Amino acid sequence: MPKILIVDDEDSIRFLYRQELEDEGYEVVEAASGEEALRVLEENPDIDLVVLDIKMKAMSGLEALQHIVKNKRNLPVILCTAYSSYQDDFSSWLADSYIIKSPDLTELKNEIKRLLKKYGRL
Amino acid sequence: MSLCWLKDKVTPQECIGVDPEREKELLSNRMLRVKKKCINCPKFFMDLSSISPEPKLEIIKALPDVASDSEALPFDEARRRMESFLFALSSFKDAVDIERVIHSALVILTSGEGFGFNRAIFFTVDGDKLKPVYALGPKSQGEGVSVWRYMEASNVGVRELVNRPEIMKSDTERLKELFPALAIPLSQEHPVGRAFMDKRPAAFYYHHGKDPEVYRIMTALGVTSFGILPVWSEDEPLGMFLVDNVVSMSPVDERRLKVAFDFVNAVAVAVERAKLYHELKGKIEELEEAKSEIEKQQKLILNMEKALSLKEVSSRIIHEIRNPLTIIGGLVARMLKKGEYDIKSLEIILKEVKRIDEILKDIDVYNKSVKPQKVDTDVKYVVKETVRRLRKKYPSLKVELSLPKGKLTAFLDPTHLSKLIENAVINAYEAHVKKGVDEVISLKVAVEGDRLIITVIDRGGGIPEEIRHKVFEPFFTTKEDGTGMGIPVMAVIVKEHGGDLEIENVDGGACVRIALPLK
Repeated sequence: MPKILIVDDEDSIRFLYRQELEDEGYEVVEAASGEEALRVLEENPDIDLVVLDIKMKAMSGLEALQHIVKNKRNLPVILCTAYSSYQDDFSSWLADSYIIKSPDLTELKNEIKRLLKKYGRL
Repeated sequence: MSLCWLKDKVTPQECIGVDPEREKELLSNRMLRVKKKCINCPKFFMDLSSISPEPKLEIIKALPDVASDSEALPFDEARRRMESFLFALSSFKDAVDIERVIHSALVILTSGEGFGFNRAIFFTVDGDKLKPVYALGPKSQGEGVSVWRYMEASNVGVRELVNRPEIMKSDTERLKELFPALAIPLSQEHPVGRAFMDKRPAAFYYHHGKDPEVYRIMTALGVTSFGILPVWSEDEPLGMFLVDNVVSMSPVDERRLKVAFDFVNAVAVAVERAKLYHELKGKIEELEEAKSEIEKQQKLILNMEKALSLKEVSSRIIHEIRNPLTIIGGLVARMLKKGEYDIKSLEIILKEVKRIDEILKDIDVYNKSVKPQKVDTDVKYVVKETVRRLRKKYPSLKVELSLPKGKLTAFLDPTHLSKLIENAVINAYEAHVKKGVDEVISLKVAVEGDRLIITVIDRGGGIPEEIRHKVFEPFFTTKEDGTGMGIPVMAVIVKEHGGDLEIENVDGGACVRIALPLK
């Protein structure tokens, strides 16, 4: 069962995603900030994929992304944001995928499936 | 460079110390010449100073045995003179004060240890003329009053003289009468002007007095011979030294004048440097003033000009609403799919709906803040009412109100004023709550000149360094249920009233300072 880390500072978003992803059969762990995410990754080396929010209060998602990529090369990361303009920021290219938040989570779920397959976790 | 003092034979042109008529033998007798003349010659001193950074006494010692010869100047005397000369030379080499440079140059031109002219006058370039400004030497032969007499009488040496430019000032004062007659046009028409334009030293003698212009100068100076030393820097005229022998009345020695010219060129360098120094100093002062101005402005930690443009605000609105919509839509979709609802999801949905509502309300206020409806307002009444309302809404709110005595009226929008106070006080209150302290918020109203000053101070720990630049951004917030509009709204209100908003960290908390024009 693939393990997914959800990083977002909004409780409600994490709640929603957890519900949806657990329904899909994934195991879910959460982090409410960039720093927490790095900690959780340390403690859970078996995480298969990260869903990462960009605009967070302290450490921005992009910063966290750089740390994650530095430490774990083979870990797929999906940047998930309410902004549409970060695609212009080159550091966002470090991520495997870029999703704009919407009430319809189909796109997010499809991307998760695609990347897990690509990285051989499914 | 010809080192005449190293040559066995010199011509009269090469040696300025030897009288070719009466001391002919010295021209071919190096030993004697050095003992009698070189060690007292300014060219010798100058050569030494340009050879090495310091006078090398070894060089002197390597010269023919001076000490034992009674005909020669005593060695100590020679050394003393040389040291004085070199001291004067070095003092102006390092000087950055133009007056000091000129003063030292005048000392060297007129001292026995130096070139030994009786008098030297420095001219500066003033428009299209050379005009005298500084002088060292007596006013006339008869007068004899001059620093040199004083020095002889009181044994003041060159060293001391160099350090006392006021002596130059007193001689200059005495000679001021002569100055108007000495103005020299920078033109080829004038015999002296022409020589100056040639950039070369020139000596003028009795027969030159046939020209009325030269005659005028000689009469004013009271001499029948004088020399000029033009000071140029590349193609720019800097000034001129005029030398004469008003006491001894002897004609100016051209050879001596030539060596003095070399010396004066060094003065040109020093003057340039002094000018440059002053220019740089001026520029540095300007820059430092500008820097402190900038620093003053930066003390307004947060620049309220940062209130974002409407376009930026709308994209932020989109972003802010997207999150709640994602949540609401996602949860509703889930419940529809499962065919059942759960209480938790419904509660979250409601919370997010409220959130969107708050955002829209604040946007509304933000928009309304743009156009103030100004009236004559009883400031104290508005403040007291606002505080009363806030105390009712937040029972644990502690505010210490400080108002000026008497009636206080200002021409502004009372609703906006109330909003300013409300936002500032609520921010302070929330900071206290977050930090968990039970502190008093200080709200002070005062008048400073033509402005109304409202200060709100809290003890909530202040604004952290990392986010200080962000607090003016709409929707930026570190609070759980904050909308991030409190300060941006204040900024717009204040801006529309033509006032100032400053937010600073003070010990243990933050200080919000609102300044509004009274009229």
